Amino acid sequence: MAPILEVKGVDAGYGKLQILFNVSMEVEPKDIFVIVGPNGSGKSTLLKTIFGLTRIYKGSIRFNGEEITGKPPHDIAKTGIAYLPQTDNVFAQLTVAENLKMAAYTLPPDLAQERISEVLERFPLLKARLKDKAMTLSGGQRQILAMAMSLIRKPKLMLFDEPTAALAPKLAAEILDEIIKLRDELGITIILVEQNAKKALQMGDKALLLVGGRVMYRGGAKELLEHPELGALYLGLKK
Amino acid sequence: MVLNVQLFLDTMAYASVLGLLSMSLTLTYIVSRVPNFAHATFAAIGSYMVLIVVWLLGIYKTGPSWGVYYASLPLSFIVVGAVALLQYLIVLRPLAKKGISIDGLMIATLGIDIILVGLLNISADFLEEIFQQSPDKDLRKLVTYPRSGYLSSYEPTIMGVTASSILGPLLLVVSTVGFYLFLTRTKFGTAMRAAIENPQLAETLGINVNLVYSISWFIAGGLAGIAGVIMVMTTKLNPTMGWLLIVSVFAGSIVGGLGSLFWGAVGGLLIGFLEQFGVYYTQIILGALTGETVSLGNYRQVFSLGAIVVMLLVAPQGLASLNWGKILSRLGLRR
Repeated sequence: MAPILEVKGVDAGYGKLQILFNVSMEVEPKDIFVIVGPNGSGKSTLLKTIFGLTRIYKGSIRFNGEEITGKPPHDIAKTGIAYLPQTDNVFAQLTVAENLKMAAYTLPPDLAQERISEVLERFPLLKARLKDKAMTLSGGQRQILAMAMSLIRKPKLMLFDEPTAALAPKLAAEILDEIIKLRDELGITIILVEQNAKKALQMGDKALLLVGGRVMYRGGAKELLEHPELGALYLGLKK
Repeated sequence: MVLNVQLFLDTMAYASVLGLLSMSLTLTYIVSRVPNFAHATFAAIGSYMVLIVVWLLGIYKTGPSWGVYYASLPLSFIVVGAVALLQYLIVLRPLAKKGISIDGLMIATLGIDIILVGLLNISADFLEEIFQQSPDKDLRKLVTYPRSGYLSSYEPTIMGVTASSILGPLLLVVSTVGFYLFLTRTKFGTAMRAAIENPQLAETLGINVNLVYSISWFIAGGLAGIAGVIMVMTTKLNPTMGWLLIVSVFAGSIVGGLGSLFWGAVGGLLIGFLEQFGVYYTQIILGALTGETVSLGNYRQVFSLGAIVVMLLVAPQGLASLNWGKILSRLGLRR
């Protein structure tokens, strides 16, 4: 099967500060692809690079066979990729309804309303909070809203940057279960950056281990989890 | 000391100008985080549009006419909006992309202000030359106008009251309410709020943040242009007229809190009333104490600077940050 996303030899960073060095990866359709690594290894930067939010010095990124290297984020969003940042992933000052409308910004009005109704069916807790400002939602509810916003454009690929950060363990587990459902029920390909490496590798199909902006491992997620050295060395996993 | 009716009417026009300018300055500040020192000169450009309308529509021959407003308001909105947009696109955005600090961008707006005033001086010379060389005797009478003209003689009156005293507050209310409805009831207005709050997230959702910012600058410039039309009815036309106003405009925005368009408008209004009445009553008091006629018109900025100091000491985040529900309850105006 042809990969849905191909990253080839990418060097990227912010301004003159290079963070990623010669990073390559291929993501198969409907996979959960996990990116793990120590703090500051460039995991979030890799997601941002795929979404056009950093400066790419070298290399190429193709999505569904289409070159997206150097495209602005609002154009990449239209190709079918959704990106959920680690924090500030909803508009706190806008109501839940306005947040959903903004997520449907690029859609024609009729289709936008239809898609908003669909995500409200999927996440009924948002229905009761439509008129509330997003700043009044709990951390878990905000993640659900962010997910709902991403789903409105029916993306083929979703990039999650630490969706469970600062959430209680029970809530974090619920969010990760929801991500698995997105793949299983809607067939969406997932790229997941997650602090809880063990949990992420357990749910993932493929994995990439980044250290200092360089790829240290690329292959099966379960294999990395059981790797005799890498997990213990870089991810704090017990041998 | 009784309330002077003419003073009140003049103040309504002047305070509305400051309200419009402080609101639009706040908009550019929210969008770009840059204090724009060229903003009051935007209004001066709007004022020059009135002279051009008086000339080109032949109003200098016919006398007071509503045509002054019908033509000047849309013309000023578009021309000054375009100037503000160019400032953003040609200077501020490229500099911001290069990582220039806010201080650097602020200095850049000062430079733009000087350039704009220079261009207004050139335009004033050009207009003087045209008027002087004209075979039209009536047009030759306008020769002093580009540098020191009172255009209020061409504005109509409503039941004996100069139109700017009524139109100024009306335009401020319409602009504020219209802008509020635009921001809360339209898709693009909501996108504007979203892009201002979190540009990166807005971009990830497919909102063209650059377009949103460009339109914000255009609207802010347009509102400054409208303010300029009212301003020239209360002040003498001059290329540097904006420089005399910029302190008061900033005072209005700071009193409002620099984060809310509504409170920016309120801040501008308050500063306008404070300056006008402050000067008037201080003159009366000092006159009574000294027994001489005292003129403090040139010191009006003392009141606006004083307001900035008081506001920064009492409520550094401006009027927008105050708990108005609690304040109204304490005053017995709300249960």
